[in-house]
Amino acid sequence: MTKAGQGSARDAGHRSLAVLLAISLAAAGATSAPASLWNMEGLGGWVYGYDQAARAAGGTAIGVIDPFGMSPINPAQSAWATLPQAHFGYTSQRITTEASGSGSSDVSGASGVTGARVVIPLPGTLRFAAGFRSLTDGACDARLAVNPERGDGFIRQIEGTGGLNELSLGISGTLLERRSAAGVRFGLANGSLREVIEDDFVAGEFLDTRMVLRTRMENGLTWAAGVQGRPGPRLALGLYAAGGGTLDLKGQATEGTHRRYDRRAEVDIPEEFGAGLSWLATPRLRLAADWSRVGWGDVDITLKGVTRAGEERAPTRFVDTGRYGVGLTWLPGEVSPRDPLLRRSVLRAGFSLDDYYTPQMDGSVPHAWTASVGLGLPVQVDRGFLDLMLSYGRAGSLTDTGLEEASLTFGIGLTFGRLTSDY
Amino acid sequence: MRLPAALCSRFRPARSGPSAPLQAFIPRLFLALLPVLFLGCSEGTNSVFNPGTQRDDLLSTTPETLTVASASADRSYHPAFTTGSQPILTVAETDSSRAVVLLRFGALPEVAASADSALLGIRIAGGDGVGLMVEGLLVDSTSVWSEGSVLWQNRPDLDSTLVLRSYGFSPVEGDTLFEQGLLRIPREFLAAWARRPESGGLALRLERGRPGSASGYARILSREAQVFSSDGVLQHNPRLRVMRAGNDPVDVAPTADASVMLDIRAHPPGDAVVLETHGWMPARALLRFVPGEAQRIRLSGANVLRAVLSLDVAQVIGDDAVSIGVFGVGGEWSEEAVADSVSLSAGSDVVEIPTELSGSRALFDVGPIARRSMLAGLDSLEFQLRSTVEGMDAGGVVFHSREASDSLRRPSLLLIISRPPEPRWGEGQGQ
Repeated sequence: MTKAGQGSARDAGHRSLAVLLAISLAAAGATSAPASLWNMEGLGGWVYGYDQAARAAGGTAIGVIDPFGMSPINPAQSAWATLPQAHFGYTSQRITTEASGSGSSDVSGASGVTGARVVIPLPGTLRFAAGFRSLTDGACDARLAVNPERGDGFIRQIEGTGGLNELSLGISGTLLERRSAAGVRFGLANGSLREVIEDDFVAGEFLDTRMVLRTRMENGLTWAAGVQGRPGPRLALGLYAAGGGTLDLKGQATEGTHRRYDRRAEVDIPEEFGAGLSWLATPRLRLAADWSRVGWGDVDITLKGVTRAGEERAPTRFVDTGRYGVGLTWLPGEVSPRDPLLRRSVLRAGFSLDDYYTPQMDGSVPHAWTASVGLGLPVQVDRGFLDLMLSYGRAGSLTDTGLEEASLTFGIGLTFGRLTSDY
Repeated sequence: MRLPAALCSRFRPARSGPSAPLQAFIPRLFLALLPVLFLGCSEGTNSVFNPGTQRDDLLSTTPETLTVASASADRSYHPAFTTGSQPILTVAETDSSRAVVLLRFGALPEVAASADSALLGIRIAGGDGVGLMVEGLLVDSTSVWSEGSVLWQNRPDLDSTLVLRSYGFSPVEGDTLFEQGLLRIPREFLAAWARRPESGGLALRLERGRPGSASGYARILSREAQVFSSDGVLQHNPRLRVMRAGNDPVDVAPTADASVMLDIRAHPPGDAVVLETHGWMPARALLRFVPGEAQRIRLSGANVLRAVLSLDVAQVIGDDAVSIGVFGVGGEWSEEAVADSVSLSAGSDVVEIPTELSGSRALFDVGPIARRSMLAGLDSLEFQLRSTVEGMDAGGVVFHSREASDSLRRPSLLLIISRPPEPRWGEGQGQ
């Protein structure tokens, strides 16, 4: 093949990718309905800080040393970046829900931005990182019949959106002649959970209602610190810890322009810590494992303005959660810019186990497992990756928690390095 | 160009791995499926709910019922309103009300200058009473009135001189008074109108103050009513037929007409009858419910899902069912006085009350009014009832008021409310 022909083939490959990406994002953008019922609980579903590449590999990043790693879970990971980089993550989800007793199942969809992040090399070995990501996800959707056997029965529709987000800045650097790295991150947690609750009464003499329940979460300060090291040529380890102060909560219920109530509280941001390792089993096969624990069981809520003393400590029903993930990454072999795009791609697969921090009323804790695969497509060989992720998972069980969700999730992560005009 | 291995750990020299065809096939399969899989995440509505949710108030919402057992205030009243555009005008003289008809003939002065006499013709559209007599007075020439705004309170001054008086009659629909020449406007008054061209108004009232004078009312067709003669000619009502010697008579139609009314009833606090819709003069009822302290606490922050006003029917007047509408109230009022500014706001319900409902309760759906009041943060819920055919002789309804000796016959209000779900962190923890 001539050089011109090779260039033309590469261009065609890039155009195909661009078209596929556009179609996918357009399709995903059209599906804005929220999904998981467990996102209704607490402050929304907890989101671990993994990028789409790490999610595809079973949610493993704590101990993975990767110049294009953009997972914020371990702030030390950005120390290995060699280029200025920008990352953008997006997921779209399809969830099938079954509940005991109802004898029915239903399907809903969800999509949204999971985060964005930039890493900029500073003089020397330091790296600066800034990012935005979701800490919790409040997207939910339900339609249920209330008091169906009575004259005042109604259909209640609930649509939840929003979540808690973190805007963070971090610094990291390599140590000991690039055998290890350390990093810290500080952030501001803010967000809003919004639920629109519509009651449509079956009997015509009752007035339908439409209420908006809004939970504002403000002024939360977060921190994270992590280290990574290479004790051997093929082995890497990582540790991280994260936490924060308290988060101001404002709960408001409004109907039209009328405020039904306005309540305040404070909640602790949970402490989180974890460890991970990665092992380059062969020059092209990397195995990795992560373990994390989030201390939701120690989280208390302080209710404001409910007693003469002004506040009242109220224990929550939250429980500590653990997460385990294992994954493998199949790296491309010897490559050159002349190789076809797909031959230069990275293949990933993984499996993870997770808990929800919001148990059911009977105390049973929903457990979840997720199996994932992914594909990393290089951008101009060495300037970034388009990471595609596909996962299937199940959460809860009809026998233990009375609710079971099966989710099919697609994710797109775009990581670009060397953001200059030569693109 | 070979990539430096140190640049990216993902690029390593190949030693083992999937075969080249497989390395290419898996990504192709992934890419091919991608749009389909994204499209599969279509929007949907979940009809399954988490049975073990910690936010069980989302699941087990039960509407609460509150009953406000009796009204805090109620009364009936005759509203002040303009009649200029109505097809019916009223003259009345009763123990409880008084009404005067105003007529203005814009072209009269020119015609009157050469007139010998004139006959006033009015067509009766109903009424009540025996031996009624209509009197005519001149309207003071300096007074200005508009049929679109004239009320008893701003009516024009009347000249005390009586210019006409009818014979005694009992109102029968279709009868025409005066035109037969039984009464006529004397020539000297026509001449006086001619000298004062800015004048031209007449006021009609029922004779009063004379011992034995009859009490009642008569309704007459206004200039807005169209009546055709047997040969299809449009007839003016009322009309003034001006006679001139040696000439054909000339009919003059009024350029403005209206009736102004005065409620002269004494309204003791706690009127025993809260609504009368019978008779010539529209009557309306006002009711105010103020929830008690405990009820107010329960209402605080709640949604009104349904509100039912329950009134006990004391009497249905007339042979047919009567339609009563319920409205919100605009303006201040008390049991002692109702300002002219009291007005109707948006309506909520219309109930057809048949004659056989006497002694039973009539239920009005006032949910929208109650919800608006609650949303506006009002402490009280106020309602106004009126006949939907107000101003017509369509019978009426008398309801028991809050002073009814039998407490079960007093007005009451039923409220069904619901509460918004607790905040996400709340489980009713002392909030």
